[in-house]
Parts: sequence; C-alpha cells; structure tokens
Amino acid sequence: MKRNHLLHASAFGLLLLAIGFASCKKNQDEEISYFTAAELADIRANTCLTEDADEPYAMSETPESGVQDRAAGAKNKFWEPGQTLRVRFLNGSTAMQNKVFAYAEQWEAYANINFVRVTSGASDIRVKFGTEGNNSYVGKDNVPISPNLQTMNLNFTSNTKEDYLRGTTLHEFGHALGLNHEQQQPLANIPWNIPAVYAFYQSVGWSKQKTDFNVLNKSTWESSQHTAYDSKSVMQYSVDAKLTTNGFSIPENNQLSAIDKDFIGKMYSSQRIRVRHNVNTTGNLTFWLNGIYHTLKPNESLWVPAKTSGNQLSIWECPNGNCAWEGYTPAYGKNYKIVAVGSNGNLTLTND
Amino acid sequence: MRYSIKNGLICLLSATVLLTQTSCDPAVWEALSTAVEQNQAMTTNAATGSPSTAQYTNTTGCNELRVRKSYQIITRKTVNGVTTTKRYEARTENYLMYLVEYDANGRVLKRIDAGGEPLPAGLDFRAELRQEMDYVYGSDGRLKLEQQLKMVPLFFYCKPWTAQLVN
Repeated sequence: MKRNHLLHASAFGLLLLAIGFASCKKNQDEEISYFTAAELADIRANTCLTEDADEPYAMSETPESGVQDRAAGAKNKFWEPGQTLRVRFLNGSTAMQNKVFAYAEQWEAYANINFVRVTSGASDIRVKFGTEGNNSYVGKDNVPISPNLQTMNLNFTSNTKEDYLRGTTLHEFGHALGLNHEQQQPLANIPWNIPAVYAFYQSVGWSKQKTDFNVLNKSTWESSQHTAYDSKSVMQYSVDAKLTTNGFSIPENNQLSAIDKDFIGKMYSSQRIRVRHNVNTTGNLTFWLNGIYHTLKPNESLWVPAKTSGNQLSIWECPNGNCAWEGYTPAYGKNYKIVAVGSNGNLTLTND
Repeated sequence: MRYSIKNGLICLLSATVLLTQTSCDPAVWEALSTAVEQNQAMTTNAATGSPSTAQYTNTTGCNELRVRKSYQIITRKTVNGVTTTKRYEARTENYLMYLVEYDANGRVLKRIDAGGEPLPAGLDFRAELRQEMDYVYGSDGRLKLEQQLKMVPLFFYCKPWTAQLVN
C-alpha cells in the first residue's frame, strides 16, 4: 500500500461511525472519534512546517533564501550517475507492464539514469503485481536481493485509477532510485495526531512498527541528503486532516513535483565535488550545497552534486556556541575538507 | 589494540574452524581485534594466505562489512634514501571504507577517511583498497599493495543485510 489514504480514510471514517460512538472502552478508536466526516471534508491544507527540535541540528533557517528545492534521499543508497537499471516484470499483462514502465521512465527525463526492460537474465529492479501492497527497496538496497525475488510490489488491477497508478508507480520507482518518504525527512514536521495515525493504519492492516517505519519515524540527518520539506513531492504520503492535530492535510500527489525533478537531477548529476569531514571532533557536520543538506560523520567524505561554477556552500558552525551558516564559494573540480582552526572552534573549508 | 604475530598464527591455524564456527579462541581473537561485533565470519583464506578476488566479491547479503587481518598492510615510501614504513588496517563501516594507521607499537595514530565511497555488494574489495591507498599516498606507484595483499590473510565479517521494503 502506498498512498491511497484518502480512500482508506473514508472507509476508516465509516468504521469510526460504526464503532466509535458505541463503545465506552478507552482505546484509540475512542480517541479519534471526535473527527467527523464533515471535518474531513472541510479541513484542508494548512501548512505548519517548523523546525524539528528533536534533531541535534536545530538549524533555524536555510543558508540561502529563495531556494525552492525540497526532497529527500537516502545517503549512500543512490545508484551511480549514468547507471543503467534493468527492470524486469515478473508477471502482469503486457499492457500493465507497458503502462508502469512508461510512468517509471518519467524519472529518466530528470535523472541521469537509464531504465531498460529485460525479460530474462540479470536485473536490478524486479516488479511483481499482486496483493502484497505497493512497496520497494530503496536504491542500492535492491542489489543484494535474491534474483528470484521481486524488489517491488505493485497492487494494480485493470480497474486501478490512472492517477493513482501513475502516482504509485512514480513513488515506488522513486524509492528504487534512492528516495525516502518526504514526510520522514529531517525537516518535515507534520503535526501528526499519533493515536489517530496508529488507529488509522491499523485499520488498513499496518502494525505500529510498520506505521512507524513508513510514516512516523524521521530520518536522521546523517542518513539523509535532503532539501527543505516539499509537501508536493510524489514521495509524500497523502495526509488526512483527521490524522493531524490541527487539520493540516496533504492531498495525494500523483505526479512529480518541480522539486522532485530538480532534486533527482542533482543527485544523479555526474558533476560532483567531494567534501570531507576532517574536524577533530566526534560530532557530525552538516553543510548545505546548492539547496541540498548533507551531513558528514567524523572522517566521512561525500560526493555531492555541484555546478561547474557559482557553487554556494554553507556550513553550520557553532563557534563559542553561536551557531550560524558560514558561506563559501567552492570551485568545481576540487575536493574540500572541513577543518577546525583557531581556538574558538570555528570551522574552515580548505582544499583536500 | 596491539597486534600479535603469534596470536595471529594461532588463529590462522584455527581458521578452518572459523569458517564454520565464526569464532576463534576468544582470547586470541581479542588480540586480533578489539572491536569484533556479533558478526558472522564470512570468508577467510587461512589455508593459503592468498585470497582470490572471488572471495572478496561475495559480499551479497552484507549490510556492513568489516575486514580483519592477521597481518598488517605495510606501505613503504623511500625519499632521499629514507624509507618510511606505515602500517594500516582497513575497515569498512556503514558502507564506508576507512583506514586506520598504527604506530610501531600498535597504537592507533589516526583514522584516515578513504573516500567515503559506498561499498556495494559485489565489491572487489582488493581493487577498492588499492585505489584508496593510492588516494592516500598518491598514484605514483610507490605502493606495492597488490603484492602485500596476497600475503595478507583477511577475515571478513558481515552483518546481514537489513534492507526493508518501503511502502
């Protein structure tokens, strides 16, 4: 199951009407019974996106204003730029296969990646149609999966609505390319009504653990490469107003957002520079380059997308406890390291 | 961590057992590595001391790959008649490879990031290691890592892959 949440939510609402008012037992159903169908219909998107105070990096602003890039990926799980990914359908009608592959190819228009269909032999992504939900492994997590097993499940039938089919295909192939859920990226801060979320997803067969894994758990900074939060991303679940504390909601996103296109293009760009954490500290370092946040563990270095000129890089620095973004303009074609200098803990970017 | 040739040899003699039992004499193993986790012994080449490339490539199923050696990687650099010898241990962690440089007494001098590149399954670890060592020292051919690696029995430890289907 990917994101058919509005449909499920409607069924869930009926379920609540059936059982929510009749029971005096204190349970999760009771907690969410105050959500009515009318509220569900009326309350719509009300952006409430603030910083995640739970994260060690309480970065209060982006280093450059006006940046619109927003999406999230799993660090070290992206494929190599320019890589050909072999897609094999394990079952399904030719018509359905063609349709899914055509939608998946929409990513190719923006990512330096090449999907090719294979019918036998080695493959990187194996799609199975069936009733095992809609899901996929993330990026290079696909590699070690047994060649006899599917790496992606799609629950489509000939009756599946086209918008949903397109959105779900884009979403699952987004995972296959290394993208994470947008609602779980470090800068997302959806005001979830936690008991309602658990109750809803339980009603569609998800355990608490599965709900945590797919919906509520936030990616750590060090495991993510992301931009600011993008509620329009195809990697964002739809959010029903009943599942938030303030009526915030997100409709189904069934096509690539402008930011999805931009982000995947950057993450698969072959134009990269390497930045190294060379500071003598046990702490992580976060830097921002051309709209994307990257976090390095001590001694770690990372290839990050860069432009041939005009790169803007900022490092979140906290000399003497006064945190701020410090800007740099690295040149393309060079590798850099972040080093500590002086006695005040200030950081500096130098050639590596 | 102090390295012991004697302990290494003892452990090598038990390597066949290691292949199937995943454990050596704990005391001996501790001498080889102070940070062995609950990983599964994956492959070793104790019989010949000359692992084949094929042995390096079978990382399928590993989420985290660690490499333990019973012998050191030595690099020698001669400048103006002065030879500098350095000893390293190569490790991988969370897909990232890094090198640990030791002094003559087995103490860790520093940890050297080796590029931070992902270690995908199916990796030719030997080639990767050589590339990374070249990075550390430059690519002027001073290293004889290929030859040295043939003498280096490597012990691979593997954490099972934990990839999950994401909805």
